[in-house]
Amino acid sequence: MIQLHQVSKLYGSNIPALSDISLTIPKGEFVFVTGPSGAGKTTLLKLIFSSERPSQGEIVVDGVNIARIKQSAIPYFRRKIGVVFQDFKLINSKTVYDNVAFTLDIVGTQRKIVKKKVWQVLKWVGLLPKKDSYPPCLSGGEQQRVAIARAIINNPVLLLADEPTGNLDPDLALEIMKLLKAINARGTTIVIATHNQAMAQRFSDNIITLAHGQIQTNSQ
Amino acid sequence: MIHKILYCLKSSFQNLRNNLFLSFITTSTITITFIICLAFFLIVLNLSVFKENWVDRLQIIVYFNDSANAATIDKTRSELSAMVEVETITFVSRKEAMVLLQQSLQGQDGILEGLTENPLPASLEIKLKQEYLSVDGVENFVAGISGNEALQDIEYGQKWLQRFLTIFEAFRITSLSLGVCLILFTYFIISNTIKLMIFSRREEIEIMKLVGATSLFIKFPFWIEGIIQGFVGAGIALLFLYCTVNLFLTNHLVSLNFFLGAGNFIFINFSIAGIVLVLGALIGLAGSLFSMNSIDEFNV
Ligand SMILES: Nc1ncnc2c1ncn2[C@@H]1O[C@H](COP(=O)(O)OP(=O)(O)O)[C@@H](O)[C@H]1O
Ligand SMILES: [Mg+2]
Repeated sequence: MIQLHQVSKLYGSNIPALSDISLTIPKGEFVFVTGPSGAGKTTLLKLIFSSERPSQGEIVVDGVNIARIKQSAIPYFRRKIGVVFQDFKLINSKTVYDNVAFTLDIVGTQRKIVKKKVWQVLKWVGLLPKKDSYPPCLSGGEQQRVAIARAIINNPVLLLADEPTGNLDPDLALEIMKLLKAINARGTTIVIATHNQAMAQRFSDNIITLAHGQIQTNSQ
Repeated sequence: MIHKILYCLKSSFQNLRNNLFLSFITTSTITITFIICLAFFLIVLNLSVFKENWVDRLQIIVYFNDSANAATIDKTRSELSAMVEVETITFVSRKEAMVLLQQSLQGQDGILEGLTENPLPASLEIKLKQEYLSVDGVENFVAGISGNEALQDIEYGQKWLQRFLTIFEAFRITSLSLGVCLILFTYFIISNTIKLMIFSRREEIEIMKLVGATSLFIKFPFWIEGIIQGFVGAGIALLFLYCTVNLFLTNHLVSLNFFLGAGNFIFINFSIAGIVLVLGALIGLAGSLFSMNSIDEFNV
């Protein structure tokens, strides 16, 4: 699913955020990327999501070489991938329903199909009763579940989560991790970046540890 | 595809509603700008029509010296007739001039009683061919014949013409530079409003990019936005001018028409309105088109 070959990333300065990273994540895996703050976890996910371009090396995601992807092809590439962030990134002026439906609206899906799919996914994450609420009225755990619903409504082949439980209490974090596990069970490859080593070890054997932009250990 | 377009349009109007105050300020600024521009444009347009009409009816009258005898007059007349510019030429003898004067003084011809001899000179009334009927054409013609010894004076309303032309030029240049300034101003206002709107929606735009919205899909509502602002601003300006002129100047319009001759006063008509609306929309579109950098710069 994901292959990186000798990838480096420099942000302006001479100190690379990532240097000489090579790794392979097969389809259907549930992988953690861990390491201390500033290790380069977010940068790695950004490269995979084509938010940033690598300074060096090749990145192939689901058969697409995104080191050389055309700017205009990026939106279409992203529709195959779901993303979840620590700060949820929901639109506060839209309802839960509209936040999730948004992903389908922008690709021109018919209203009837949008409705059916949004109901399905909200039901699946257990938020159907809150579909008309606005994000600020929800708990952090609920907001993250909305974000996850939005990320998976297109049945992505890959789900990237950057510190998805960073803002949540331990019990809510647990709930979110279980949800991600369930998504993985449906066949979606999942990559989670977290500085929480203990949680990573609890939920997966596949852990890539970064430090100073380099791979320290890769237990895949 | 239809769904997508509908969604886009919906979000353009949502944009307008969410930024109601901003839109209001922008649109009224554009309206005022267009009112000023249009007013000047209409004045210049009418002055130029007036100029055309006037020149069209222009006659050149050459007066002979008192000493000029019949032979000299005949010679001059045939010389002038032979000139390429001349269409018709009419001789008015001293006697005829007197008769005309008496006719025009009907009932008051007592004024002329004390006269022992006819003071009026003989003259030629010259009408130029259509292609020479321009300010330059007339002046060139006059310059060409002014050396003639037999002629005492050449009359074609030159003082008026000069004064009118000066005013006309001043108006034309003022309105032209004003027009250019105000178009730039409108462009600048719209472009800044769009930038503010983009800024106020940057989080939403960021999320749109995250979930795979194409650049076109994100930008389209802002283009529509710019077009609407330019169009509405121009539209209100047209309406305002139309109502103002019709309410307050109707009586004056009649005399103005008379002054300009043959009902030639040009006011806002369909083609002018059409052009102004299209211009407004185009400036709006340009204003938003070139404000899209900030969207591309949101790096997600
Ligand atoms: N946009 C950026 N511009 C400049 N430097 C950056 C940028 N993003 C991250 N960095 C730097 O790259 C390094 C890795 O950052 P990041 O990938 O965010 O680490 P992590 O997510 O593991 O905390 C850090 O030193 C950070 O300061
Ligand atoms: Mg990070």
